[in-house]
Formats: sequence, structure tokens, C-alpha cells
Amino acid sequence: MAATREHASEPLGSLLAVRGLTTPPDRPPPGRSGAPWLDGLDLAIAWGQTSAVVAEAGGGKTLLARVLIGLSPLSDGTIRLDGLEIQAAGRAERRRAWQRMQLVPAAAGESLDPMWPVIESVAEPLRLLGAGTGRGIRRQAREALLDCGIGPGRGDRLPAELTAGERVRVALARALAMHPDLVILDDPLRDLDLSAVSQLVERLRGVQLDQGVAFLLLTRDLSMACALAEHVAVMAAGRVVEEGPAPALLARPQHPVTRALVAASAPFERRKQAFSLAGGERPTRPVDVGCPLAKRCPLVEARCRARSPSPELVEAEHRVACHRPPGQEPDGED
Amino acid sequence: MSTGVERIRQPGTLLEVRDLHTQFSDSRGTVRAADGVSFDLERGEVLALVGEAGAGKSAIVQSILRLLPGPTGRVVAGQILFDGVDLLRIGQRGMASVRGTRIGYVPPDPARGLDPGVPVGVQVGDALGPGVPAGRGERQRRIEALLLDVGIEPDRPLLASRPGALSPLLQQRIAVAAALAGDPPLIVADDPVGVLDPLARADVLRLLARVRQRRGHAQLLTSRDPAVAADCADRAAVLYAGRVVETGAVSALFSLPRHPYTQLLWRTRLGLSGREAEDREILIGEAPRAGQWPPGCPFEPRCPLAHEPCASAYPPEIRVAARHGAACWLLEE
Repeated sequence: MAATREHASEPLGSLLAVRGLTTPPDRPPPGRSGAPWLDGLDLAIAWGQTSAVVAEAGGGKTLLARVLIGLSPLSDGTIRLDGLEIQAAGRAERRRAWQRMQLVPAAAGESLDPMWPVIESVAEPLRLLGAGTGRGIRRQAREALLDCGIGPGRGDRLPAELTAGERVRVALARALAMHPDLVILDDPLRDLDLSAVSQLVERLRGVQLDQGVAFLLLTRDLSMACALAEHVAVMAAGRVVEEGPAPALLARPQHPVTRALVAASAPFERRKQAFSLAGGERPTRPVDVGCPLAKRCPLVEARCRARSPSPELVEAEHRVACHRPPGQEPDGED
Repeated sequence: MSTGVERIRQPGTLLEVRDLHTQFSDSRGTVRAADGVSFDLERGEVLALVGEAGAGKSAIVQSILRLLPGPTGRVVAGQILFDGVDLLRIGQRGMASVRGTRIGYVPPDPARGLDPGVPVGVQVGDALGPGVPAGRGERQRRIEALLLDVGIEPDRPLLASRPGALSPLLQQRIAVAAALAGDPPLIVADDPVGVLDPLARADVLRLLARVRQRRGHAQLLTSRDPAVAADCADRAAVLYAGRVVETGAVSALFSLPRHPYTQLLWRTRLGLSGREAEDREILIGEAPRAGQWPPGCPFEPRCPLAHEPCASAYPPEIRVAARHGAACWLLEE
């Protein structure tokens, strides 16, 4: 990535650069836990690469996706796409910017119209955009499906006649048909079998090589994120707590949340001794003072409760927001 | 109860499933969900059934617990010997006395296994059964001990709270407490971590390992993820299209898999873990949907090593080592 500066948010050369994203406070009804929130989130996404944001279930992944494409409001922060600050732009520019970012929503396969042959679902956004004649649109839709491994025979089927993996690839085709610069994938791997995941991954790689599209993968699974993405950010309590190149994050996780995620996702490792967060429960609202994770963190110190840590570089492109100096191993697990 | 002393395992087979055939029928036809499944489980042992969606995991579990959705689902042949008694022959009333006291069940989705509107204390108390502890105080003490066993502080607000308001992780821990209530010799957990995120998943897997170590019961787990089996089980049976294609101790099964499906499933899993360079050979295609099994070996259309007899005849199970077997024509001769 080009933006190897002091801060994660230098938008230099990035396709998408977001800084300080914060969502308005949510007032949950009594007896309910609060909805997710963003609290000063910084993120930069490079052209033509795959980036990932990892967070727990209910950790704000879908909210982040919705904020990026303008479906959820922000109370603070900026979103720049290819240098253009989206909120400050005029209406027409804003619409064009949103077209360049396509979302494959969570449970994408279930979002297809059950009464339509899937090719119609792929063609629909092209029609709404007025992207050519009827025949031209069908041809584009068929090509997008083919790129995603859905042959002509399958494209004319109803969603219920396809496998879960095929339906997700149809949803991907629907996004790719718009020729976006960035496709945001909201937890596409969830509820899929390994077979279906490996199929999807093959297609994502193929499409990226051919078309140079960037992917932002939102997932709960750190190890899959590291398998698919070059750059991985771990989000907790509405901000990025650690980010870096995938191999560095897996080999040298620093933040307690990242370390717990690495320990939890290692295949074929007995997890009894693994590093874990106390209680396993997420905080339900933003904190006013100190590190938002102080309550869960097994390494908590007095300063963590006093002041919130800011991201610091620990090695090339690898940043951590934690007071605990990197390299100190309190539990001797290495 | 939670003395921390490991119980001594009694030797012998606890559960024996023999040639189980389970089918689902409706107006559109018949699906063979379990198509001649056999395996056994020793006392105190953990066996994992690994398979992708539609491989037959839930059908097997529901057959054992006699919880198949009627009237569409039924066991058409086979035996399920539990402690020497064929569960298929004891009737629903007999079965009701087995569930809970002899076999504890952890459902796949805690939100469905627990009643979202009934307070936690009441549900765990119900799981203890009607007659067991005499006095109110004793009953309360047992409920609190069970919750402590699964790492939950049994304070008043928690006992009064409704599962619907709790996180999936807490719900699943409570479901484990309910399954443990009768102190059964077997816990059956059907995809107990499938809906949880990785941190919650690790927490529940650790919990299952801990309660088993303390109580010494056997566990039958199912998962789509071979890593869960590798992590938690002593032995695993890999299912494909309603059949066991390979079975063995997890150490041997995943370090020296003999069936091409097990090999590819495990390699694909490692490739997707970000830790190993992805092998060029990954699992291609998708598993056939339940009931659409091709003739011959059901893995043949996707198998890179398929050859002459594979498409026409189902392979026999070959013993490759002690307690390690695989059903594949490549192993013949």
C-alpha cells in the first residue's frame, strides 16, 4: 500500500480513505442491548487489492458497509473515494461515487428475488441505470454470471434451484455487472460450506486479476480474512484496534483482541491454553474515558482506564492501538 | 459436582449405530439423508461427525434422539444401540426418559433450543427433571452449580433474565448447562458452534472440553468445519452424501487422510486459514444436494483421482490401520 505514513488515515493514493467515522448515539429500547456503533474509525483501501475488516458478530460490520455506501448516517468523519469527499460533493457526483462502490449484502443469496430467474436479478440494476438496450443488458448480465462461475444453464434458474454457494456468486455477479472500483462483501463466507467458500474465493481472485477491482471483505473470521486479503484491519468497539499486512497480523498479533482472534481461529490447535478475552462479552455502548476494551482485557493497566490509546506503528504498515508496549508477553504463551 | 477430579473412564462401547438409513419423504419424492451409516462411540470418548450441509449430520443426530420431524422424516432401517438397548425399539415414551437423563442434547441454534421467553433459572430447573431434588433449596443449589459449571455467575438478575435478551454465547453456555443437568453419560451436540463467531466458538469448544474432562461423559459432536473435529474430538467420521467415507483418530485422520474427499477438505481448510500457502488442489464443485446422489461413489464427479469402477459401484470400506477406515476404490488391492 502507498499510504505508509504516520497515520492510517493518510489518503495518499488510496481508492477509499475514511477518517474518524462516527455514528450518532443509539438509544436502545429498555431491556435491549445497544446496536453497534462507529467511534472514530480510520481505514484506507488500496486500488485493486483485497482488504478485510474483521469484527465479532454484532461488532458493526454491516453498519460500516451501510455508512460507506450512504445508507446510514454519520455524525462525524469523512469518506473519500478516489480523492472525492463524498458528503461534500454535489448530488450527481455523490451518486456516481456510490455506483463505483457496490455492496454484496449479508445473506446475499437470500436477497435475490425468489420469483425471478437469477439472471434477471443481475440485470435489474443495469436496467435501473439505463446501461444499454434490453439485449445488451442481458449480455452484460450473462458475462458477469460467467465470471462468477454461473453458466448459461444455471442463470435461467430460480434462486431456490441453485446451491447456497451459487446464490452468493449470483449476488457477486450482480455487483460486478456495474463495473465498480470497489465491491464491499458483507460476511459472504458465513453459513457457506468449505466447498462453496473455496469456489467463491477462486472467483474473487479471478475477477480481481481480470478487472482490477478492489474488494473490502467484512468478516468475523480473522484466519479467512488473512487467507484472502493483503491488508487486514481488526475492528472493536467501533474503531480499528490493529491493522497490517495479513502475514504480519497472523504471525505477530499485538492487540489483545487480535491475539484472541488468532488463538480462536487456528485450526488443529487445542484451545484450552489459548489466549482469550475475559467474559467473552462485548461492551454494549461507547465509553467516555479510557480504552473501550478495558473491561474485557486480561492485560488491563491503570492507564488503560484513564486514556484511550491511539494507533502506533509497530513495524512496516502494522499499527496497533494499545497501551501495552508490543513484545511484552505477560502469559508466556510463546 | 465441580471437584476438578477427572472421572475414571469405564471401558466399553456406549453407542453403536449400525447401517442407519434415514429418509425424508414428501409429495416431491424421497431424500436418503443417511444412507447406511455405521459408527461407534466408546464411553468417555469424543466423536465428531464432519460433513458439509446436506451430508446427513443432523439426520443422524435426530435419528439417535428420535427427534426427526414427522411425518416426513423416518428411520427406515438400522440399529441404534445405546448401552445395549436399541433406541429405535423403545417407543417415544421410553425415549423421553432417555433424553435428558441418559443423553443430553445441545441444539445447533441456542435461540431455538431454549425458550426465548422463559427465565434462565426456570429452564435449567426444568432440565433437572421433576422428581430429582426434593427441597426447594436443594433444587436452587443444583441450578446454581450447573450454571457455575458452564462459567456463568448465577446471580439473581441472570436467573430471572430471558434467553432472548442474552448474547448467543451466553445462550449456548446455558444450553450446555441444561444438557448437563441429568448428568448423562452421553452429550450430543449438533453443530454447537455453527452460528457463533470465532471468539464465542472457541469459548464454547473450550467449555465442552472442560465439562467432559470433569464429568467423564462421552460426546458426539457434529460440525461442518474439520478444524472443530481436529480440535475437540478423539475420533472423527467424515460424512459425504449420507455415508461415512472415512473414520479414524483425528491425529491420523487429518495428518494422513486416505480418502480424497478428506484430503481435499482438510487442504482447503488449511488454505483458508491464512497460515499455509494455498494448495493448487482445492475442493472443486459443490457437494450434491441431499437425495441427488449419483450412482456409484457420490464423490466421483468431483474426485481428481476418479477412475474405472468409481462411477458405477460404491466402494467397500477398507481398513487402512487400526480403527482407521476409508471407503474408496483407490485403497483396494
